[in-house]
Amino acid sequence: MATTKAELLQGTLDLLILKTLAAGAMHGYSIAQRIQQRSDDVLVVEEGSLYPCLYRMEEKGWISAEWGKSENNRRAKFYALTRSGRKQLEEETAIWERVHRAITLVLQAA
Amino acid sequence: MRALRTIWSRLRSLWQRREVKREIDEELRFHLEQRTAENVAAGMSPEDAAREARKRFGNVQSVREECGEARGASFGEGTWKDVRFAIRQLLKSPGFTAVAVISLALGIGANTAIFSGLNAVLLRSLPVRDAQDLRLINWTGRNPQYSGYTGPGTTDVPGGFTVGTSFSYPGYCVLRDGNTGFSDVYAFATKGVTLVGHGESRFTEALLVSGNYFSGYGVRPFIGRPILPEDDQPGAPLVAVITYPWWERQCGSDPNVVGKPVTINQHTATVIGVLPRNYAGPLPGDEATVYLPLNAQPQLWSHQPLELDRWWLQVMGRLAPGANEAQAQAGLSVLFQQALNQSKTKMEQGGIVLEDGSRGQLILHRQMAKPFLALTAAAGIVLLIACANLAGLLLARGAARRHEMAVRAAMGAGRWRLIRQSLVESLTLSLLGAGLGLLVAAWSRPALLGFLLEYSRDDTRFDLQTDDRVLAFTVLVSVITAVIFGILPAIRAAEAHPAEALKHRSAMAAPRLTLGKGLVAMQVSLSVLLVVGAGLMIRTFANLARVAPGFDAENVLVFRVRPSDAGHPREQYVEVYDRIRSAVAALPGVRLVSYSAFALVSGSSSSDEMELPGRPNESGRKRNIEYLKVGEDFFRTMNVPLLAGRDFTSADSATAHSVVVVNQTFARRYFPDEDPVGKTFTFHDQSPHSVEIVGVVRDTKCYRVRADAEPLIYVPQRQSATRAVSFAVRSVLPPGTLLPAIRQAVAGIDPHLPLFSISTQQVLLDRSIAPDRLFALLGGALALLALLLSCVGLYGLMAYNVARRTPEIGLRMALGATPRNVSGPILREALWLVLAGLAVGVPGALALVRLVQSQLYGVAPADPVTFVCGGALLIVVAMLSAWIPARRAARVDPMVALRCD
Repeated sequence: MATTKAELLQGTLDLLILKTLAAGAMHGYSIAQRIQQRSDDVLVVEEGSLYPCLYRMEEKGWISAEWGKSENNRRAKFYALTRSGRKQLEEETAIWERVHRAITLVLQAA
Repeated sequence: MRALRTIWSRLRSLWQRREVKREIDEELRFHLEQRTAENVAAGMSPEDAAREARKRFGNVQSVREECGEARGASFGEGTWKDVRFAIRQLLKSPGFTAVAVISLALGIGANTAIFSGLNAVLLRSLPVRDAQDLRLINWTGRNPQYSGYTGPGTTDVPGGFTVGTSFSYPGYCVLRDGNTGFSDVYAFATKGVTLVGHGESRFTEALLVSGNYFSGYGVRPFIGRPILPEDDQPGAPLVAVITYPWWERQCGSDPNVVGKPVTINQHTATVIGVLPRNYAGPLPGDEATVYLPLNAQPQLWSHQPLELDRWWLQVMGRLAPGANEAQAQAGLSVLFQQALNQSKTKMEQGGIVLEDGSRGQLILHRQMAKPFLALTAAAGIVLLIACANLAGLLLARGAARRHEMAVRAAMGAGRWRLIRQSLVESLTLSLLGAGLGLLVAAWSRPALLGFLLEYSRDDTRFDLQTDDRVLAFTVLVSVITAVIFGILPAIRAAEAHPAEALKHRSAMAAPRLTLGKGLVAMQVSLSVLLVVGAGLMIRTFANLARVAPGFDAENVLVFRVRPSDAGHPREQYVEVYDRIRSAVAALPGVRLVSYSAFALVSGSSSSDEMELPGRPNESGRKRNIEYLKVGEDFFRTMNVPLLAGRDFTSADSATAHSVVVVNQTFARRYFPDEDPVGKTFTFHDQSPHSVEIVGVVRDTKCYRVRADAEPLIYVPQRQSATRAVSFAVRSVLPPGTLLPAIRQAVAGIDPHLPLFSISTQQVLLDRSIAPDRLFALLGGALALLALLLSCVGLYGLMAYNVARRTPEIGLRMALGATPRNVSGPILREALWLVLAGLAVGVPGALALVRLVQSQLYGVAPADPVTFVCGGALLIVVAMLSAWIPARRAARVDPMVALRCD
């Protein structure tokens, strides 16, 4: 891993997980993999921190969890977006875009 | 919805902590293994692959914990930790814990005991199918005038209406046959019967029931079949359903009992069924052992035809599914009017009222509701005092632990966390108290059972077992208690400011407990209510116990016989009584024997109309007079002095002209300035006839001890014999020793004549005031409890104050204050607290005692003696409990006190 790693901004992990799960149910390991791949290996999730985040989101009702079989036929816990998770994703995406725009504006002005 | 789900998942995780942890572990392990496998696939050695996977994952242990916390596993764990911490804290101060738990146990125990009584008598539904559909059918009307009425009596309700529960048979038939939204309208009545089994006659009770009783009431026999409408027809073969206890005891649990004969009042009936074990009849505490059809009555009791216009049947109904209750009531009212038109009984504005029948006839309910309410209120007050105690103790403790709380707040414990800890502590205390309280309740059960039994008739069964409802009540009470006494101190404790932790411990002077003072004053005022209430009850009982009954109860045996059931016709009654009398009189040790329609103070009475010549009644209504039909020598046997005239003799026979002996009150009220002997008046017993007064006797208690002297006339049995009489045998020996000889003597006259209601006159006298005794006892116990708890509260507050002010006291002593200077203000403060409590409590008590006025005897509700003694008692007891800390203060060693910093 020679590429520059970016530390995740606080709270963005939620957004990344929600977005990842929008593609369909998957287990924790593939969520971590997917985030890393999608970001061209820039965003390396500290894999452990993913799980408390998943549990908190489950408590909040954004995602639901169910035990199932993994690709290699092992018992794994699959997470899926709930309706309120989908709404949350929309809201957080909107916020993120606003913040992103604002930061870009500030940077361009400078 | 989400909040609910969160709570649910938290609660679940409380129980499934291990399960949740296992799932987390499995999920994390899966992740690590996946990563390791991928690394291996990328060409790493297995060891390197595993190491790299762990490195990328981070701290597995802390992730696990974080997940658990997110999942709420920590909630359960935290609570459990709180409980353990609370128990450790409580064990650290055993004195505090003991006082707290015992206070609560007494408070909760008293409430549970009273509630289990309330539950058994007033709340529990009958064990029948759909008890909620049952209705009691009562009549209501103005100025009822009936020719014969038996049953639980009538009640006068506001508006000049009378409500009664008994109906005549023809009246019942009208209600039954009209279709009024009831699936069944059924009737029943208890009657004494003589059953023969195992060669021995036994007097017991039968419930006479209509043919639709079993379908209406909702009970199936455990063996055999119920009584059916075809069994309840004139001339139908005589059948009987027996109860489970009778089947077990008298038939040896014979499975083939159906079809066997049983002898009832000399007639043979066929057993057709056995009632289930948990069966309970609609009359509370009914002792019927055998159920017979109503139409068996003319056959078994030849003296009373069924069609007579006598009101003796209790009527209940089962509402049909979907029936409108108001319409059903209106329909029955119309039918009742019709029945009245066909009846000799007259009343104005007659109608029917329905009452909830799910608990059976409410006779006992009506009798006991008031005393039970008073007891429940008293027990509630005791619990309130216990709560105040606990709150006071916890406040003092919280004040002592302020430093600890401040330290914990400084270390990051949230406000809610601190409140939770305090609440868990008080909940733990109250649950401990509730556990012990259940024991207290179980231990007081016999006393309570005694209380209930004295209120009803003898050998009534009551089920005071702790059922789910009682348990639920106890748990509810203890949780509410915990919140009441825990919330204030908890909030106080959580006010701890982190900055205070930095101060030196001693710089945080323990605060004054203004709230604590308020609590103690409240306890005192609540205690006043109970002490005064109990004082009045005790004085009532003392008055009743001192009442001269007007006769001599010592060494008098009483028993009843009923020759009518043994087949003797009415003309033979007196002859049977005479023969028994002379046979018993001949026994060694017997001094005098006589008999009367019922024993004195046995709770029975009879009355009928009379007309006094030249003295029309003011209200225009008929004048009722109590009467007692007695045999010869009754006054001598009971030691009632004859004041004028003569006693009855054998010459006062049915053919001679009618005579009566009157009591003093009769003479005084109706013949104030003349000699009543020789005067005549009209008496309506059976038919109006003229009677002559031949004697005057001193007043005696007749109905019960509580009753005031009322005019009473004595009528000779020889002129108007009753179906059953109570014999009174005055002996030189203890009455019980004579019983075998008396039984033998009676059996020698007629072997089918059983003795029943065997007792002594003294027992009857005691039983007549037993409810008052128990009420005084229970009230006294509750008041004592209240006093004790209030003392503990006061003592706790004073002891706290002394401990708080020890350095100050030491300083003052060092500067020359005498012990008296030191203890004086403490005692004075206690006195002020008590006086403040009295200032609120006494007017409160004055207002409330009026509610128990009807329970009092010979004492005014605002009895000055009770109030002054109660107040003085409270002051003395309070001063005693304040004296201990005051003495401790006076003994403070200045050197020690000043050094203690």
